Amino acid sequence: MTAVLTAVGVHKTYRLGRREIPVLQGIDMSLMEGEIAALVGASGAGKSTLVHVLGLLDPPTQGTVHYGETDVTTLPTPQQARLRHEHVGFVFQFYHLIPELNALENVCLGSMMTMSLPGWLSGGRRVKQRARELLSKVGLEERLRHRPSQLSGGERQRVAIARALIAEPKVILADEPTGNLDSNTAAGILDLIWEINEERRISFLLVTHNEAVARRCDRRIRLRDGSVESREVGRN
Amino acid sequence: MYKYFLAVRYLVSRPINLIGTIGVTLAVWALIFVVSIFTGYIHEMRLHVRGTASDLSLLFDRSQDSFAQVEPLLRHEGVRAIAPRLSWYGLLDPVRGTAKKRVVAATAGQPTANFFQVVGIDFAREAEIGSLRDELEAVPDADRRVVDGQRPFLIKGKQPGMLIGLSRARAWDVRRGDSVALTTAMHTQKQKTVSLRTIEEPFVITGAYSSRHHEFESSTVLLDIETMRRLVPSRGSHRDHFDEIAIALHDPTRAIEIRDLLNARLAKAGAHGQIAAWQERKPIRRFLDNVEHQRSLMSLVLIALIAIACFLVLATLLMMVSEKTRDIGVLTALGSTRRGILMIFLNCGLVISTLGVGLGVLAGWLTCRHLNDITDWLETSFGIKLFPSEIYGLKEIPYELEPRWIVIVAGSAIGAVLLFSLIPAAVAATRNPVQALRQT
Repeated sequence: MTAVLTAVGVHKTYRLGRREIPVLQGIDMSLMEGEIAALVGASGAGKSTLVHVLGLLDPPTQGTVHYGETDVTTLPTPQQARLRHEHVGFVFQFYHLIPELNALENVCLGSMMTMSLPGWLSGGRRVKQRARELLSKVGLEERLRHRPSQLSGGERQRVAIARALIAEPKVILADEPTGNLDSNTAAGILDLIWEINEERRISFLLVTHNEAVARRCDRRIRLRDGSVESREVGRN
Repeated sequence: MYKYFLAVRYLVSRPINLIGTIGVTLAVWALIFVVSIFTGYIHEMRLHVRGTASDLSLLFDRSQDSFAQVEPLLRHEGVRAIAPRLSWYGLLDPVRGTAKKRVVAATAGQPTANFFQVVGIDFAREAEIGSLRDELEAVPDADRRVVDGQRPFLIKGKQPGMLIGLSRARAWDVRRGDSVALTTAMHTQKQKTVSLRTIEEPFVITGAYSSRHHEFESSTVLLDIETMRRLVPSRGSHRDHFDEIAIALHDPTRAIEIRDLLNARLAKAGAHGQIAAWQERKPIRRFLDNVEHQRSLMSLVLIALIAIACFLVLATLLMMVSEKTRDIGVLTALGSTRRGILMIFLNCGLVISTLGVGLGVLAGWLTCRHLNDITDWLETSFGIKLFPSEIYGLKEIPYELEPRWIVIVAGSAIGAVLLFSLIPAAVAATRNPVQALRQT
């Protein structure tokens, strides 16, 4: 198995006035192809910060992030944005859908990022067809024209997953994807994640507080005060 | 693609953005509408003033000359006609004439004696210079039209004849055959004694002229030049004196060339005076410069409207950036660059300005096209008179839609709004995506 995402000696320090607050302190980790890993730890342990650093939304203060073999931390910002689009998908706890767009458009938006206007005019129909298929896949074929405000929490998260999938990323970084859902709906979302993982061999890094969810993952990376406290392998 | 798609969606879903669009529309409409009326008015005035002015004029400041001596110097293959003029100023009082009752009724008892320029003309020559013959025939009021179009100053009796502007004749309600009193004064010199001589003389209105130049009509009366020469004696020994010669050209576009040539010839012959083209004459230039200046001032005032519209767009877009902070984080996560985020909000400004400018140009064009219908409707329905024709001397409100001005207004409005949109766009582009995502 090859690593699709690697962090080497990642530090992240925030500055608050004259005070320096170390949030990540030398994180070494990797995510293998087709793997679902859980990132667990108490609040303030640095889980979300690590996800942001791995997703190139926040540069590390020190250390490197690799997508496959490529060190992406030194790349220029536009290239990082393109790689983020191609390599990584995001699923957030609060779904973060664009409220002005319906479900289909929210999913299409994931593909529009790298398309020019003429490109959209020639290939837009194909993108919409693919978005429809993905929404069908997540069980929302009847809700294509619904806006986020007309969808339930679980449905919104399904749209967010479809949006993350449309650019066919190698990794999906899911920051507490079930944190805002009731247990039944959360179970449905988790089943969907595992199904996608099985079918498409997409790697997932799941940030979670839920030990049961973490145990279901292939591996658990436990953070404590910005450092990796332990790594546990195997589902149990 | 998402930059255009999201810009349109953001705008459509927020009716408050209409404020910016309406602001731009109003500013562009006002700039096109008001300036088009000014331009039309200037154009119309130029035509009217041009109608009352000859191509070239030989003017004197203080001295007078003999027409017989100067005339040969002005002969040139490009000169079509020349006519001597002699001007003075005086108070014209219609109340002291035969039309007293009518004048008092027409002017509601207000003082009517007005200061006039009194111009003595040689009608036969003057008719060759411009459109005076047509101006006499163009008078629609039968009781104000001259009887004999060839000899308009001819009148039975001893009193000399006078032509009065149609608008003035109507304002005073004086008609052909009415008498008016002209009072004037001038310095005379006998040996070493200079004294002020007062002249008071009755005249009979022989008809009116209609130049369509309201200012000129209201302040100028015409006499036969021989009558004028009697009133304003020569300062020299000659009896065919004048203080201006109007010169008409076969080809008015050669005015400057012929002006220079004749001026050189006059200087060589030691004659007085200087020839000027019609637009160089001080009163005309001052009048046209004045209206031009007013147009420029009005444009400046209206440009302030564009600035207000820009601030409206700035405020609404800043509000939108604040509302869409979380979206900025999401879009960055999906692969957008800072430039992409900047372009979304810049495109919002582009859509607002283009839509506002388009509507403003359309509204300006439609308002100008139907301006006179609108003012007629306002007058008949509500009694509101927006453009009193008796003040401006024009039957309709003139307008001239200059494509160049429309392009300048449209381009400047779009440019200004885009410039102001850069501020919220830059604010959005510099938002930290991680902090943006933390907004729930």
